[in-house]
Amino acid sequence: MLNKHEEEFNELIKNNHASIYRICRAYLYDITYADDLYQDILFQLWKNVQNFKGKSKVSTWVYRIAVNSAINFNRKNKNKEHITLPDIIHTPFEETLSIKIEQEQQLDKMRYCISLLEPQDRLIISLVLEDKSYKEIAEITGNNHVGVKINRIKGRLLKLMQLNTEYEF
Amino acid sequence: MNFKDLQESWQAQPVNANVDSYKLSEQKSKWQIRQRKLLRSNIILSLGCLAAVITLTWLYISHNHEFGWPFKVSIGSLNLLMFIICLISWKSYAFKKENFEVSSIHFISYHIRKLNWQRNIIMKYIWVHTVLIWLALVMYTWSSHRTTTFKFTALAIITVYIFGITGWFWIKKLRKEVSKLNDLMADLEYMKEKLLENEDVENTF
Repeated sequence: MLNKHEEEFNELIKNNHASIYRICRAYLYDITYADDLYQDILFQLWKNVQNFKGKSKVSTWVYRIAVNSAINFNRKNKNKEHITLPDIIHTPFEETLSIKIEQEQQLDKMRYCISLLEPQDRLIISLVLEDKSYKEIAEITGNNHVGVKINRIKGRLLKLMQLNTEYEF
Repeated sequence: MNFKDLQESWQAQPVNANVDSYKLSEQKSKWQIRQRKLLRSNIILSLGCLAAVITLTWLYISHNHEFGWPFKVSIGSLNLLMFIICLISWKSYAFKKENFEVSSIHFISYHIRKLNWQRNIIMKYIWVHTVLIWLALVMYTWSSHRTTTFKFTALAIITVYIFGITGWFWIKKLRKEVSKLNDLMADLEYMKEKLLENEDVENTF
């Protein structure tokens, strides 16, 4: 029989695990490192769920922990920072990956383009992709002037996606 | 291509992460296993020391009129050393039973201090204790009414036995214990650091 702490934690994960996972995939291109970060975030949530005082929305609190953990994960694991692929392997969707369905190719291209952004921008765009409002993103990241930045990052991502599409042809 | 399409395909991506619940409880179980082992070894040590003290006391009562002051000092020192090693071992055991799931920074610091004590016992005190026991036994042997040859032979055997046993134990068991303690302490330090970093999250909200 689960205790109260485990029940609270399980409920939290059930409602938020997909978003947390997507943030990890946005922040770290390599899936094994993204999985490590995901485990790290879950551990932090498990440790802190009892300390949540309910002054904010649960999702805002969860994202805050996730963002904080991602930044610290990066700081502690500098060697896991994304390294730009050499020009010869410019995009991750070469002919050898043709077995992937179109949607997965598009996703992979997106992840790659996101990985070309600055670390802080990756976190912001992952929150935008999660449909968070500007206000929520400002609360989560602790940056009140995030509105202008969001538009710039969105523009940059779209441009990167377009450049990669042109390269494909 | 517009941002809305990107957003939709992003949110529709498959989520394949495994929640390794074993890892989450691993931190807790490593530390609890350590505490249980320490409790067991402390109880055995205490019982062993009690038996030794009773034997030494009986020896003293039976033979103190036959021997001089070195005999009395050696028996007294051995009893004192038994008492001290028991005290130090129990000092390294964490008696506080705060729930691990709601561990605060202070509780984690408390456990790091206890683990540090355990490490110091293995690295330093065990050798000091060995030397003092050896000295006490030297005095006991020298105070006996035997020939000089017998005394030196006995001293040589005692020296080889005591330092040999301690050295062997250090090589076979204690080095691994120190390594486990270092790992545990590193895990607890990491948890403490994370709690400190996340403290501002709750302060903000």
